[in-house]
Parts: sequence; structure tokens; C-alpha cells
Amino acid sequence: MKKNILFLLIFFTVASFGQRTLLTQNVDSNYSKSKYGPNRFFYSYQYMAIGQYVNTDTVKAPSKQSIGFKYGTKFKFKICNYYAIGLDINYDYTSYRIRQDSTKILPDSNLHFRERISFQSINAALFNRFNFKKRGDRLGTYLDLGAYYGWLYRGNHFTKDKNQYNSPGYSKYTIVRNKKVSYVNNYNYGFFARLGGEYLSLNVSYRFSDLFVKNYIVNYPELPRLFFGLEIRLAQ
Amino acid sequence: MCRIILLLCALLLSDGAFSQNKYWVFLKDKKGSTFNPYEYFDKLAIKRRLKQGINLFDSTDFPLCDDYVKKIAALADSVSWSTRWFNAIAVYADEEKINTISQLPFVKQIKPMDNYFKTASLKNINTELSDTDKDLLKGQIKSLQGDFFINNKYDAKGIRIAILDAGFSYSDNCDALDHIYLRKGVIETYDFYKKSSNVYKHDTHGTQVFCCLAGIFDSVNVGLAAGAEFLLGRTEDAMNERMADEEYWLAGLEWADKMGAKIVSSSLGHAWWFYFTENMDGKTSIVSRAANMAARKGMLVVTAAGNEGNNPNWKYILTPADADSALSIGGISHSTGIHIGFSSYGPTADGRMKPNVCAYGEVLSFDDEDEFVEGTSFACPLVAGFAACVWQKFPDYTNMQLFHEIEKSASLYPYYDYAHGFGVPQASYFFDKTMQMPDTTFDFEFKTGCVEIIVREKYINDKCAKADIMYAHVENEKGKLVEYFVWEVTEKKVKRFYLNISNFFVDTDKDRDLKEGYKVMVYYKGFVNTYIVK
Repeated sequence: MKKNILFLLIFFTVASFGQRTLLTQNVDSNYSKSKYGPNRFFYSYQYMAIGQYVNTDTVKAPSKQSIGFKYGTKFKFKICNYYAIGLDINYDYTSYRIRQDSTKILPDSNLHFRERISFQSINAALFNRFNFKKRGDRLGTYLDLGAYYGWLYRGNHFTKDKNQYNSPGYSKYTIVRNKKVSYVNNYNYGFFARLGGEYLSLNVSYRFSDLFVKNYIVNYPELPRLFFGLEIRLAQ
Repeated sequence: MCRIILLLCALLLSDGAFSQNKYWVFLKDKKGSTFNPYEYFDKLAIKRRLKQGINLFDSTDFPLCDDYVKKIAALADSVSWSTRWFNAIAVYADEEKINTISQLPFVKQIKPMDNYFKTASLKNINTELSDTDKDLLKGQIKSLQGDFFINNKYDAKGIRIAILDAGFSYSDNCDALDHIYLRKGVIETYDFYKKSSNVYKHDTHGTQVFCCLAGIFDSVNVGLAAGAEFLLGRTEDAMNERMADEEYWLAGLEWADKMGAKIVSSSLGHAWWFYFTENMDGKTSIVSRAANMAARKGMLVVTAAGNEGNNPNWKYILTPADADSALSIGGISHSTGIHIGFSSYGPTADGRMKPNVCAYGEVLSFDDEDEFVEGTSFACPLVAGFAACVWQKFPDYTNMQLFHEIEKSASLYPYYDYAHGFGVPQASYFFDKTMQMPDTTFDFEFKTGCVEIIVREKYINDKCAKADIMYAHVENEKGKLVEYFVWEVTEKKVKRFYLNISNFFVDTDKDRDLKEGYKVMVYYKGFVNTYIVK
């Protein structure tokens, strides 16, 4: 009851002032120099990256195609106009489509209509940012060099097979998902470089760690380690 | 794949990370240079100077020392441009060469330039000349009370105006500008980028601006300075924001000065891509210094406030509109009559009021067709045309007198804020200067702990919402605005401000508290009143 009376009191106090605000600007904050901005002491922004893993080994890779997706936030601390350090926290999803041939042993020798292994990880990266030119309050053109370390919290194995019998009671495909497979290492690390502009950057990263647990029944061949991707800055 | 990567690399590096660098080289003196103003200046430039009591032998007009220029040219990769006003040369050079140049005993300072790729912010919507378009066309002049000039045969005849812009495609083939070309009203053209006299390519922005200054379409004025003489300078690249724009803009100003221009109209506006907010102080960028220098030479520099109003991180005027002697023009919406979202807000970084005045920021203009265009670029020539007519009517005004008279003529004067400046200039001010005391339309009512703005009964008219607009600002004890508002008034009680002084109750959650020394200035239907907290 008391709340209702209070509401009515507030309502009538406000309602008695007749106006529609068409424009309002608070200038107060203008008078202090900001430390936040793309070329200020501190800046953070979100980004999304998409790309592909490329096999650099002389031996044929066990995967046919791959895709990598990243979504994260970067925190940049400016040291001088030409140099900054940064922290990058991101979520990473990577999926490899497994090649189906007689040499296949990952994760077993069974052949499927479709088969892929995917990994999801949370990574933290430290990077050095080198800027090239004097500029205003913007990111400018930069080269990032850094290293990442991540917690690979989920490795999934997926298979899809065509069913032999296409009669009632049978489905067309059988899909099997093995979640949190045990032959995947929980941590991964590597180096990366980025060549970036205001909103886009080219990403190259190299994973040093092995994806699979050593001597797990068999020694699994490694999936491609080199990633090429395109990154888009999302928000200021 | 390789091609895609190469293409992406090219895109990423489009702001020229590895390109050849460009620098301003400022010199210490002009040793041994000689100057004859009667040979250098156009006769109109000399007339303008003499009329305003400006020295014909100002050292800033002397040419650069030939010997210095030759020595620098020999060391640099190439020389792009030079400025007499600032005694500097723009050069291309690599880091090693610029280091050598900086060691020369006559070099005072080196400043690097930069480029930034940015899509032009001009928004075009192709339309046919509908009734709405015709209303807009008439409105853009009517809002300035331009009919006073038109009916009294003031069309800026005898005033030379320089337009510095990104290109004037179709200007010489545009119906709305025919009357100027037929009477040979374009005196000279120069493309500072290409170093040629052909400005009729690259972009139509300059043409649309030209129309807003002097166009006549179907016997209706698009701009007010239909009888003026024009200098057209291409000093900007429409697709890229380049530091070279500043170099050429400065060169354009010197050229306009030499050619006898009295008014310069320009849309140039640089912000975060080259500067920080604190640089918008009217002293940092070379273009704002150049605008001030041009004012010292007797010219009225009219500049667009900029189109960064929707950028939450940039609530400042752009440069060169930050120059204290540049008449900065903000944009208003033709439908609401108040600030249009994209128009840059003031103040300057050092807290000076900008923009000075405002005009329609969405207009009907022309190039090879009629176009509805938006941007403070178009508000600027509307006011430049207005200024030219005033100068024709009052030829004895100095440039700064004209500047202040235009401010005084504006619709909200003496009220101001950082979105509208003093409002829209009104021609009637220059025809009837007898002051009519406006009716008191509202009162400040003091109550315990607060002050209220109360509109008088007969000045509330719901049917005419456009006229029922109240402007209010809160000024701190240092005379700087801390907050400002525009309201549509629908009831008597408009606003309550709480007082934050020792004797009174303070409610910090509701509204801004007024501290001691704060002022509330309110404009409503021509009446301005101020409440000072004591």
C-alpha cells in the first residue's frame, strides 16, 4: 500500500512537468582528458575471426578441411605512439574434417560418410603491438606478435553414416557424437602474428602443442598447426 | 588463396603503413626574400586589405627563402607544396633524408603527415523534384529569411568567394549554376592535388556546395550569393581523409587571399583519424591556424562544423571549425528545426563555444541532377551566401565585425548552446535594427530548494509544436556549459532544477543540482532570461 502511494506521488510529481525532451547533452565529461580510446592509454574491443588451418607438414594431413572461429576481447595498453602491450581473451572453436582413406587411424580406422573432430577452448594471449605511424585517436596500422595459452575444455568426435536400409523404421543417416573424448590434450599453446588496420586484420598463428595425448593406444598423427584467418573488430 | 591474401594485405595497409612519408618542414626565417604586394596580389585583395587597415607588407606574405627551398629540395625526394603564411614546405622523404633535413641550421621544426582511408560521408538520395523537394528548397532560404536579401536585390554582387572542396564535376553543366557561367562569374579554378586548372572532375560535392551558395533553380534560389564572383579550388580528396587535404587547404587559403576573395567557404573537417579531442583547441592543427591567419588577412572563413555528431566518443567540434576566427556552421533538421543528429557538437577542447551559428543540414542541391543531400557541408555555404549578402549591404564591415553581426542576427541570440551556437542567422536583423523587446513568455519560480521554469499560459500552443520549443542551458561558475536541453513545451511547468546550496535540501537522483554561481539560461519564443544561483 505504502509503495502504491509512493508511486502515485512520484507519478504526479513527474507528470506535472510537461515537456518532451528533444535534445539533451551533458558537457561535463568533456572537460576531463580521457584515458580511454583506440590510441589512448587503455582501450578494449571485441573481435571475431574466422579462418582455416593449413598443413605445413610434408606428410599428408589426416584432415581434409578445417575451420577455425574465434570470438574475444582485446585489452590494449599504450606505452608510446609506436608500441603497446595487450591481453587477448578469446573463445576458440576449431573443427577438422577427417580424411577417409585406407591410411586413416584417427581416431580409428573405421571409414564414415562424414567424420570430424572439433575442439573448443578458452585462450589467453599476451601480445606486443607495433604501430607504424603517428595517428589520431584510432588503432592505425599495426603488427602484433604474441603467444597464447589455452584451456581446451572440450574435444568432440562426430561421425555420420548413410544407412543401408531405407525402409520405415530406419533413418537415412546415423549420427554419432562422442563428447569430451579422452585422447585430446587439455591445454594448448602457440605463437601468433597479426597485421591489422582499423577494422580488419590478417591473423597467422602456429600451435606448438600437440592436440592428442601421446601413446594413447596409438600415436595419433597431428592435425594442421598453422592457422590463417581474417579478424574483424566488432565494437568500440 | 594467395590472391585473396594479397588483396586483404592491400586493404589492410591502405592507410599506407609502408608508403613514402610526407612532412611539413617549418623554416626559421625568410632571409633575403623580397616582396611586392602590387605584383603578387589581385587588386581586390589589395582593396580588401586597405579597407580593413591591414598592412600590405606583412612578413607572412613574403615568399620563402629561395636558397632554403633549393637546399631542402635537393635533400628530399620531392617537394609537394609550400606556405608563405607559415614559412614551411611540404616534402616527401624517407626517415634518413628527413633526419638530414632536420639538421639544417635554418629548419625550425618537422611535422609528419598521415593518410587515412575513409569512405566519404556524403549521403545522396536521388529524387525527383516533388512538392516536398520544392518546399525544402524554399525552406533552406526561408529559414535564413533570405527573402529580405532577394526582395531588396542583394545577391552578393562584387563579393569574391572562394570555395575549397573535393571537386566540382558538372558545375559547368549544371542548370542551377548556368547564370554564373553565362556571366563568367567563375574567375579562376585550381586543382591543388593535380596542380592543374581543371576542377570539373573527381567529385560532385563541390558542385552541390556551390549550388547551396549561389544556385538558382527554376527561378528559386538554392543559395543567396547568386551575383558573387567565385574561385573554385579542389583541395580535398573525397574518398580519403588525407593530411595532404590540410596542406592543400592551406595553399587554397593563400591562393584565395592572393586572388582577392573576401569569403572562403569550406567543408573540410578532420577529427579522430588524425587528432585527439584535446587537439581541437584552435591552435594545434595547421588548418585551424591557417583559418585564423586568413581572418588576420581580412577574409571571413566559413567552415562546416563536421558530421561526427553521432559519434559518442567525439563530442567536440572538428578542425578547422575549432579556430576562433572561423565562422563554424552546425546543421539543423528541416523538419524539426533543431539540431540534426550527425552535426558535430561543440565546444572546442579549450571550452569555447562552437558552432557559431547553424543552418539546414539537409538540403536540396544539384549537380547533373537534383539531389537531397545531408551534411554540415551544405549548411556552411548557405551561411556563406548569407554573409556575402550582408557584406554587400554593409561594405564597411571588417571581416570580424561581419562575423559578430551574423552571430547577433541569429535566431536564439543571446542564448547559445553547443549544438546550435546562436541559432540560424536572420536577414531581418540587417534591415531593421530597432530592437523590439520580446514579450516575457516564461518565468523562473523560486521554491524551497528548487527553481522551476513556468511558461505563461498564453504562450502554450499545442497546435503549433514547432514554435513551442524551449532551449535551456546550465552554465557553471567558470562560464562553461555543463548541460543543455531542447524541449517541446506542452504544459505550463517545464522543468525543475534542484539547488545544491548549503541551506537547501538536495535530491541528487532527480535532476542536475545547481551550485552557487551556476546560471540557467532559457530561450522560449524570442524571450531569453537567465537565473543565477546566489
